[in-house]
Amino acid sequence: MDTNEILLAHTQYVAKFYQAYRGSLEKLIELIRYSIGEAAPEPERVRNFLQKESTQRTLELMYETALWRSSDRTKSWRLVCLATQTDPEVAKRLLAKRPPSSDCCSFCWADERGVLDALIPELDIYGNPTTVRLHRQCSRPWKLHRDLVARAKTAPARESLL
Amino acid sequence: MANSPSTETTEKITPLVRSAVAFHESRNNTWSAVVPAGTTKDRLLQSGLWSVVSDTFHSFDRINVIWADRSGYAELLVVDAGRGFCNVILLNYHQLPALLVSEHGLPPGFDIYFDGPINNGEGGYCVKRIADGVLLVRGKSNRDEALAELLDSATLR
Repeated sequence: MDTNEILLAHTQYVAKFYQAYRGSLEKLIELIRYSIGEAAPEPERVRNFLQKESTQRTLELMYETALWRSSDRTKSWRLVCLATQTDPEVAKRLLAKRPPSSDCCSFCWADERGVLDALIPELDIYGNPTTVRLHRQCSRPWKLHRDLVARAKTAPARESLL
Repeated sequence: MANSPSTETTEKITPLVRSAVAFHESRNNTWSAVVPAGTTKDRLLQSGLWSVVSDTFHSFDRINVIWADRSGYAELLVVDAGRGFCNVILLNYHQLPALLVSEHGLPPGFDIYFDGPINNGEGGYCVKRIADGVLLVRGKSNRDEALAELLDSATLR
C-alpha cells in the first residue's frame, strides 16, 4: 500500500472512532499519526495530505468520511464519519433526536452559531423546509436515514434462504 | 426521387399558424404529486385518488408522481378532468433503485461490519457468511463497495 492509501484508511478510522471531530489541524495530524503507529509519515506530509482538495473529495466519495475546514472564528477542522445505520429502528431514533440548539447540525451536532451559510435547511418530500439544518456534507447520510425509515414500513418481510 | 418537390402528394399540407404554437407553460401546467408509500400503479389511474384535487387540472396537463418513500416516480398525462373525476394515462414509470446501504441490499445470512483501518487488503468493510464465518469480502473502503462485491460474487449467482 502506498502512503496515500494508508493515510486515507487511517483518516477513515479516526473519523469512525471519534464520529465527529472538531479542532485544530495539529491535533488531527497527531491523531492520525498515532493511529498509523510507528510507520507514520512525517507531520508535514500528513498536513500536506489533509489540506489537498482531492483528499477531501476522495474521502467523501469513497471512504464515508467528511473532512473540511470550517469558516468559524477559530477556523477549526472537522472530521465527520458519514457511515449510515442499517437498522431502521436506530435510524428512526437518530432522526427523532434534536440537537440542543437550532444552530447545530442535526447529524454531527457541531455548533455553527454565527457562521453564515454553514448549515442548509433540509427539505422534505413536499419541498418544505423542516426544522432540521445540516452541513452540506452531513445531508447525504441524513437523507439515507430518511429513506431507510420510510421504506422500512412498506418493505415486505424477507424470508431467510437458510 | 424522394427529395424533389413532390408531385404525387394528393393531400395538401396546411402549415400550422403562429397561434397554434405556444410555450407549454402558457397552456398547461406540470404538477407534482406526492402519493403515500405502497400506492399501486393501477391506483394512480383511478379517478378516486384525484377526486379532491382534480378540478385544478386541465386536459393535457402532466402530473409527476413521487412516492412518499422515494421508491418510485411516474409521469401521468391528464386526458380529461373536472370536479371529482380525472382521466389520466400513465406515460412512464420508474422504480427507483433500492438503497444499498440499508438491509434491503444485503442477502439473508450475511453480516457486514467495519473492521478497523484497511491494511494490505485486510480490515475495512468486511462481509461474513454467518453460517460458517467465511469472509467473502474484505478491505473495502465503504459499505456500497462491499455490498456490490458480495452481490457480484459467484456464490450468490
